[in-house]
Amino acid sequence: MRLLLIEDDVELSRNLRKNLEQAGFAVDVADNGIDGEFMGKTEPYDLIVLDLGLPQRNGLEVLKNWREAGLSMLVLILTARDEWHERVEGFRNGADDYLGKPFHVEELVARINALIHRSKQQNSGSIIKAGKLILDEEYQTVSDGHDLKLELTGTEFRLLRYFMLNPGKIISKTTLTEHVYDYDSDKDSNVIEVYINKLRQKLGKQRIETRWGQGYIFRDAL
Amino acid sequence: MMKSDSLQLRLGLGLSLSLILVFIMLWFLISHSIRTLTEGYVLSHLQHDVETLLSAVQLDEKNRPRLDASKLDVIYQRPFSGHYYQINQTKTIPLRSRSLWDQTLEFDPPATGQSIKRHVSGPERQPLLLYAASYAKAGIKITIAVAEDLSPIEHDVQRFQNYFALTALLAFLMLLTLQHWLLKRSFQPLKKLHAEVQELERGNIDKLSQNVPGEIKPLVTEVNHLLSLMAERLQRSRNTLGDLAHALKTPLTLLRQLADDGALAGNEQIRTTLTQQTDKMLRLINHSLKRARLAGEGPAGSNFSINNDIPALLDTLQHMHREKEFEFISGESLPDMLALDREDLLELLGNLLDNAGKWAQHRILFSLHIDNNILKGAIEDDGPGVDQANLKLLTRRGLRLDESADGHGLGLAIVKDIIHQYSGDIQFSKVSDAGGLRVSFEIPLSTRTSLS
Repeated sequence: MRLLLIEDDVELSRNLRKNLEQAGFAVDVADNGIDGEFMGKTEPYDLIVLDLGLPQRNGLEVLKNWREAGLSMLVLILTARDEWHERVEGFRNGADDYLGKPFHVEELVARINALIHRSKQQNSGSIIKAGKLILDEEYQTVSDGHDLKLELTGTEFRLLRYFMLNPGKIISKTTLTEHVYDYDSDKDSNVIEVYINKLRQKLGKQRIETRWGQGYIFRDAL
Repeated sequence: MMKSDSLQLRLGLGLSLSLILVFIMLWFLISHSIRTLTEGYVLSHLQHDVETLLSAVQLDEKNRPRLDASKLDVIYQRPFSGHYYQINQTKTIPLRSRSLWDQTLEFDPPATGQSIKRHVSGPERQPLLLYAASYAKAGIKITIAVAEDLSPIEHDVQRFQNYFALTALLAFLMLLTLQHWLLKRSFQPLKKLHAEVQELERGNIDKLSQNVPGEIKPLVTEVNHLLSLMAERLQRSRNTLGDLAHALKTPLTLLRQLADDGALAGNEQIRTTLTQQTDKMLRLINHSLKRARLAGEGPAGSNFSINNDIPALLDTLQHMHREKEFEFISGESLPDMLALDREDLLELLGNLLDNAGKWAQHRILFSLHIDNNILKGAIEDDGPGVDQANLKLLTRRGLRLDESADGHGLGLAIVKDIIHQYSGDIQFSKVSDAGGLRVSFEIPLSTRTSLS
């Protein structure tokens, strides 16, 4: 899952980025409204964390512009001015959730996960189910519902989460790269293949099918 | 009913009085002029008659005046015809016209060469104008008096006066109606202004129309200026406070996150203190900032629209409490616009509904209606409710019944501040014995004296 964090406070932004990456997200950061709006329009983010009090362009305006451009990615608003009229304005302009400052990072992560789960018709809580497989987002492990429980590395976790949230769909290598890595990462598509192989070793070969020239399909039911 | 300090009444009265005065003066002036004119005419005609008589009169051997009747007008022959003459010679009985019959004209004869003019009462009480002149004829003083009945003239004058009075009355009534219409027309802009001020109070418009007569334009301009100044000030202070909140909260958020940092893992005491103190600071900042931002009574920033703001607010709450059902029941008499500050009311309703949303199991019922110019609202949830003892405590300020439901205490404190600012009232009660909390509040819509 790839996130865009638009927050002008450098310290807070660094801290949040660190925590969000630990939680298994690929994170890009923008520190003003104009850059943020542009990035949100050009990169395929799954979710955007948007601060309202941004320099150069107000967060609400950025959100309005995205929605007017027909972009439907999830947007979570952060704001220091935790007032109801602003909250109402935020939702009216197409926000999906709203978090007033100050907040605990865990709450932000929980809200982000809840939003993503909801958009993919998953349960609330920190687990994702796909067939018999259960992915624990908190501990970044996967189990088959019985005794098998496997630890995952950061990239494996990100890949598997993306697969499990989009079961049965053909996912191209480019899409995978875009949603698993942040903008600054080295996007060598061969690396993806390496991780796919690692996942196949852990979950069984038939879980991830290869469609030549098209991409991969994750099978939730075997 | 027009009040005694009504400009329209004052102008109307003044104009009516001056009209009445003018008509009365005209009446007297014209009546007097006509009388003078006609009398002048009668007098000159009497003078001619005297001269005719003088040329016709002869003194006989006994110095008695004698007249050649053929030289005289027949009008002097008919009894009580209204035209009379009488020629006095001091030593003999006066020679009287046949029209006088057995009457005598009583007057003091003027000296020789002089003449007099008198109003006397004649036969059959006719009001007569009498003209008499004394001459010396062959050394003998004779006085020739001629009189004419003025009653036909009096009658004409009377009739004229009646006509005049009637015409004047009609003209007066017409002028009065015209004047009333004119005044009403002139005051139309004031009526419009009045209506606009009421609209302003209800919050349907945010400034007065400048399309008014020159006399009240400065007033309207001044009011508009004041309105924009106040709205600007409110907005500015709100923005400044918001910026301050923003500036303070971000570093405080960082401080608080510092407490969760791994480096402090061993030092529980510092961690706790840091968390507690930053939380306290944040709560204080939040509370004071929110309080300071309340507009309260007086000119609102912008007004609350039932049709726009309620659905948006419920939509927001639905996003925040997805599994709960919010239902809004609108009172019949509820207008679209309420003359209450939008941000204040959103803060009030948002906090109350959010609280209800946190505690409710499935449903939150929210109703609003206006009764006697008081906005009455009630919010009911189907949650666990609050027991009797705690219901009383709830009314106290800033009390947190359950620390785990975040913002509960602050939310209620702000709610109470808002209610207080608007001189309203808030009550907490049980929905039923099974549980559920009902919060009902009242806000007087306008404490200002009604304009109408």
